[in-house]
Amino acid sequence: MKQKKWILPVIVLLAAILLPVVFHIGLSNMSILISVLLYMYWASSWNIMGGYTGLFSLGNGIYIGLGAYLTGCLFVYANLTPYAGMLVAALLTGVFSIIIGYPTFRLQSIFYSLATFALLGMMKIIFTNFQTIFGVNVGGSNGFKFSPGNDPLNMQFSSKMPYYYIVLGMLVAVLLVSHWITRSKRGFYFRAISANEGAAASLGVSVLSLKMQAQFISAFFSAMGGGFYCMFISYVDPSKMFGVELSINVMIMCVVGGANTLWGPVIGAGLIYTINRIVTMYAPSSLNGLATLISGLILMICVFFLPGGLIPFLADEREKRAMSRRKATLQKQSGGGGGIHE
Amino acid sequence: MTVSILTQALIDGILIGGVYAVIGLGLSLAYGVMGVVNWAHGEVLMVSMYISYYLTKFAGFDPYLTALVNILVLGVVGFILQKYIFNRLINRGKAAWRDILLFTAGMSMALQALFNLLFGAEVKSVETRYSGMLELGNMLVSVPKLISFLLAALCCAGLYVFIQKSEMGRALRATSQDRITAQLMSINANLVYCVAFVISLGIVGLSGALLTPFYSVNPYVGVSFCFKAFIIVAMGGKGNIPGAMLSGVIIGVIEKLGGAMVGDNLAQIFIFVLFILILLVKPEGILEKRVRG
Amino acid sequence: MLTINQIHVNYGSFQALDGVSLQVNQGEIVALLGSNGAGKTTTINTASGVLKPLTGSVTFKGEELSRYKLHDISTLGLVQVPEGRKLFPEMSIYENLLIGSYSKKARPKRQENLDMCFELFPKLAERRKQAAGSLSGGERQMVAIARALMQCPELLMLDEPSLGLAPVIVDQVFETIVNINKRGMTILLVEQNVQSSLEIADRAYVIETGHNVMEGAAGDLLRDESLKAAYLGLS
Repeated sequence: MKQKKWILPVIVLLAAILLPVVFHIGLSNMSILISVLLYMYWASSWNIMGGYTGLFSLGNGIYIGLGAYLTGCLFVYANLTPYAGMLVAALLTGVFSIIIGYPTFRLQSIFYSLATFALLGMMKIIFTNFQTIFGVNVGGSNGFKFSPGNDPLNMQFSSKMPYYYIVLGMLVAVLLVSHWITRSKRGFYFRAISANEGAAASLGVSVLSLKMQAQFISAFFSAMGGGFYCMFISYVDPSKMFGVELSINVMIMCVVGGANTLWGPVIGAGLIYTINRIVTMYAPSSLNGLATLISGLILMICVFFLPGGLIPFLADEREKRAMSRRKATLQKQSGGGGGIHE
Repeated sequence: MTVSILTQALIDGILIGGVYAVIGLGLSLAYGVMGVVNWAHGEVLMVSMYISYYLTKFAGFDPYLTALVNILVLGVVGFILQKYIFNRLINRGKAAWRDILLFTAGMSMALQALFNLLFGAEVKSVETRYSGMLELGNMLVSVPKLISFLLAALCCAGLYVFIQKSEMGRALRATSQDRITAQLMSINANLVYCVAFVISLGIVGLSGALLTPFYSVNPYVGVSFCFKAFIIVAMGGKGNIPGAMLSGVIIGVIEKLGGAMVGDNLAQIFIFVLFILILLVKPEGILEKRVRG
Repeated sequence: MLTINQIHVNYGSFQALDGVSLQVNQGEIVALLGSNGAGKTTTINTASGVLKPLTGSVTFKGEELSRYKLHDISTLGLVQVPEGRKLFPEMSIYENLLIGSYSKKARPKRQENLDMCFELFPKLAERRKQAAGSLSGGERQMVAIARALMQCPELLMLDEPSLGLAPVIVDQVFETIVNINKRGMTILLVEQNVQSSLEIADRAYVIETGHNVMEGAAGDLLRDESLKAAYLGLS
């Protein structure tokens, strides 16, 4: 039974791997594909914290941005190859996430979200106003730039195809980790916290420690994505990385697809990115911000009509049909006799 | 840094603090009675400020009278939102607060983008006949700010009396303490929630009018007000009217004193630090109440 | 007056009630007995409308309750004193009583009912401004009953009123129940305290893990050997 579930994803993966080989994909389309995969990756990373564990962070950009800056700086100033740099940046960001997470975990969930949001804003202010941070020149509001090149050992490629495979690999990795969460005991505890924190605490596990773990993992992956992005475009723009739009868009993608599921973020990201892209392509340039408006509306509509996201909605429909079948059976049974014993 | 400048800032802070307080109260009420966190609270304020602005500038309204229009419009909007959307989300049960947070976050995004599209991003302000300063001793008090402060204080007082003494006020308190038992007492919880949210948005509508004489509007003006409103809820406690008043004034004073010392832009950092302090120092006040629910 | 007919109630996928039935006639005191987790509170909550049955019906004075919204049911005259009293802790005794008479039906009778309650429970009259959260268990039970009386009930359902109370207070509570019944109130009493309940009840039902197991006149049940063995040994 379980083997059957693997067939479809494996086929999709093979198709994805072979796609650029079989079809000749132009430069701009390649960028689009890479961006889609990256958003799927980021949505899945957020899912670990926000979807499975219920830590509704509105400031995911904090980790993405930090990962980007750290990877870039380690590359430019310490000559550390980004393949290692990404991991180091991710680790450092993970630790950072725990440090800022610790005081906020004890709060009512809404204040946790607010704190992450405020912190995101703080990061933006810091990185756009200060040219150097801790003695390192990070570029201030102009952003952190370096020259692209052809240096495969340092993750700089002239063609886009290698980037495609790297981000595809990252996506597979984060999905595997998400899958592990849905199956393992630790993952069960994560999801228990999301469902009912009080009950989870009574299971005898340290809720605080679990939250820190979930946050670390999520921040780790988000940061790695940031590092990748930095090497992909050779530029880190603080107002974009630490901007509200990136963080909220990633969250919307995950939530619309289905926040507590494996494929939800992937499908959500694909959907939202496509819609965004179409809108910005075909809308007249005078309508500035139409894409944002539409994203906001999509979120509102989704929350109201498809609670839990697209995938759970479809699963719920199946369960509803099963419930009504049961009700019908019960009614048939009690319809005949009934009445009060006297 | 002379004493008079500091005192001036203090007075300024108290006056604006009153308006912050009443804005925070709107959020606190909705959150206290039914756990609704309106992430778009600031954007609703922005909308009401635009309404007041256009009525004042192009229809010759007295800016304070626009409050009536605002309250009406936002009251109706609040009723519709609560009855057809939030009540449904709440009655779904599981983790409704997340759904409401997401919905209002989407609303916030959409409203900002919409008003940017409609009216552009430029800052808009209007000259009203409430300008100029009053001399109290050797202190200068801005007339519109004083009027707004008084109206805001009046609103808070009125709300306090309503909540404590009236039939509906009691019903609001009962429903917030125990929704199911309140319904066993014939209290229509859904209706009570509508009342609460109508009041919440109505307050915001009033605040928009209060701000128009001295505060300029743009599509993104709501963000900082919303942040301060959340701090007020955290500091004052949900549904706590005197607490909200005090918190609002404290925030206003910190902002203006900070502004006098390091300039208005950097003063925002003080607000942020205040927020962090509250999170760290008073977690019991805003810790998850497991009994609720 | 009240007819509960074969109700099935679920909590998610857990079947709490598997076909419970009972009937309460006007003027009676009927006891619903059973051990912890038998489904007594679930039954009462279904009767008052807090829970909705999957199948089965609850009828009060000929009206099918499934047609009514929760907050409208108590105006029909079916009033519940919830398990654990569920007073509004941050309100005073007086305010709790005021809330009791919130409904359009009860409000005109408010002063009259207040006088009656204070006559029935003189201790509450002295302490009326005190916050409900600061009262003792027995006092809270009195307030809960008074608050229910403010709702102009015709059938009063009490869910485990003796819970957590000292035996002397329990006697007072049961005395009050008999008193109220003598004034014409129909009573459905849910209890774990089998002895005291059977002593004041006219009839009783016993349920176990969600279905009926026994019923009859209270006197008969008091003398029943199997019941004694199962329940009276515990209480």
